Amino acid sequence: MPEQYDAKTMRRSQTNAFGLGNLRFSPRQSWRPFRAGAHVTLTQIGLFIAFLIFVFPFYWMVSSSLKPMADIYIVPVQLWPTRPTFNNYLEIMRLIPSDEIDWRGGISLNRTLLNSAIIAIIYTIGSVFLASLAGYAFAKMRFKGRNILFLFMLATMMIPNSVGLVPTYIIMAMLQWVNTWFPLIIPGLATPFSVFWMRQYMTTVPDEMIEAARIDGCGPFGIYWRVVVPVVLPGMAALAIFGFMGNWNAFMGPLIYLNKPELYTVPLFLALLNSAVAARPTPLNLLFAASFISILPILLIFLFAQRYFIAGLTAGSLK
Amino acid sequence: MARWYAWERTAPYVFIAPFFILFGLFGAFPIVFAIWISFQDWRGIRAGEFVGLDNYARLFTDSNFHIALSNTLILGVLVVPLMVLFSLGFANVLNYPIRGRVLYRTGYFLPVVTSLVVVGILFEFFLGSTYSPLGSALELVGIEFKGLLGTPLFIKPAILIMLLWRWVGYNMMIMLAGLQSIPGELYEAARIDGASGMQAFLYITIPLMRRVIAFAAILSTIGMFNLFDEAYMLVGPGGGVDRAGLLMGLIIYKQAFLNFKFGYASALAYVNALFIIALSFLQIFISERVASD
Repeated sequence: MPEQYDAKTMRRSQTNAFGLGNLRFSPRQSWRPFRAGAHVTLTQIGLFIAFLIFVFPFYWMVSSSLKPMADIYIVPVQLWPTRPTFNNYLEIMRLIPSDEIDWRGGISLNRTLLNSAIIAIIYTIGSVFLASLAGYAFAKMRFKGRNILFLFMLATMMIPNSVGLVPTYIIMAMLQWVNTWFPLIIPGLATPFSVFWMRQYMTTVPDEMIEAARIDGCGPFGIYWRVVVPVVLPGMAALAIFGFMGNWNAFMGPLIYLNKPELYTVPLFLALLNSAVAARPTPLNLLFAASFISILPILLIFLFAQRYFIAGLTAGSLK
Repeated sequence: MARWYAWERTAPYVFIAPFFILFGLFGAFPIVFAIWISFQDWRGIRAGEFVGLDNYARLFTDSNFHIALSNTLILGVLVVPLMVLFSLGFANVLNYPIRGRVLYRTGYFLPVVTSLVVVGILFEFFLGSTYSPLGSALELVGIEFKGLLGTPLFIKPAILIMLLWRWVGYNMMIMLAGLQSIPGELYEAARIDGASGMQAFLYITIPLMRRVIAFAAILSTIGMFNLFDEAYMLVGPGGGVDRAGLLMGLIIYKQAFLNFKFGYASALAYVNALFIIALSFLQIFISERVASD
């Protein structure tokens, strides 16, 4: 393999297929032709107020989750928890007994967190693997029917998912997959967008690199695994994050397919905790504690992998 | 050697097979199957009898459909321009090397990271609970607060606020990516020619951002017609008081999985899809038309 094509250099020089992964995170020094002048202060105030609006609900969720129940149901509300306590988290995680939570169906947040994690991890690995295999074939291999298949796949992306809702349910019922996790994993693996996304990344891999590996005696799968995958890892990371988040947060699928409490995912469990039909609604302090725990994994991924996260998510909009 | 070549020739098909088998069954087939279902009178998962266009004819007399469609359109007409306005505005300002821009950008994007169910829970509390900060604030000025969600008039604004809060940061990122692809020299040249910041925005940014704006607008439109999770959490599958929050996404779900009218739900889903496709093309057409003028 020629030296200039090692995976690291490639990754660095790789242009994101959508131009979305290239958001600059440092100010653009060369480009400030227009001075905002006197407007600067006003703009700053506006930006700050907007910032408060966007962040306040999170603050409220966290601060309420630290209040004892007695401090929640009062008017006027406390802006700051005067008697902060971690008990809500211990209660909702079932680490201390709770009188307030009516565990409907006998499940706990812990169990649904585990369920969601298993489903989302299997889905993410499967999705990235299948999409990158197919994406590689579409980008770099010549075969009969390639363009037609690809165009056909893209054309179906125009049809919104709601059209497939009923037919998919009927198929799942026929397969006896209702009340299993399969409907939450398998249909999502067939998302055309993922293949499209991977294909765009694969096209940036130079043909010479693949040819060189072929001459060295690498088989098709070897080329994919040893040459192409290392180069397109950033694309796979973005797709993985995007897929994981979508699956972790998915609500409609679990709502339709899961009736057994022990199979519930986190969003479904939260909806249950929040449901008005319940004889005893969950106290807000516990509900907010559960909500915060549920968004924590995605929040952490976002904070540590912002770049991939934004690239995957904004391009994922194509879906 | 021959075996090696044979493997090379079949490899592409082997590579795409796992995806395409699943795609055929769960991606392509349901689209066709849905048409067939929409011509049937399904009872539960058992195939019923062929009823022709009855399910589509029913659309004309179903008040739930009329309300859901008009609610979706009304909200769409409000949400889409506001979404574009806010996201382009924020993106434009944050594209300048302004103090604290990384913090602002991260903060504005934070709602996008939150699950829609949690968004629903948060807004149900903030706009609907007596024990919310809003409730206390109104109480302080002497207005008794019973929650906005019990009043039909306030349900749509509540959904609107929730959607803007959740999605402005997301559209802002799309706009930012678009803005950063505009060459800085254009602005430099405009400045030398004596253009003001506002003029540069109107005559350089907007025309060059045309496609990105149309893209964001189309996404918001599609999102409006498919809106489910947040609306379900906020107003429930029935659309809340007076069905003021009943939306297309909700009635499709309700007809399919609460009423088990699979045929009718599929007809609804197809009509919904037609609206989405027609409106998307309309927006592309308009943005291209504006460009050619």
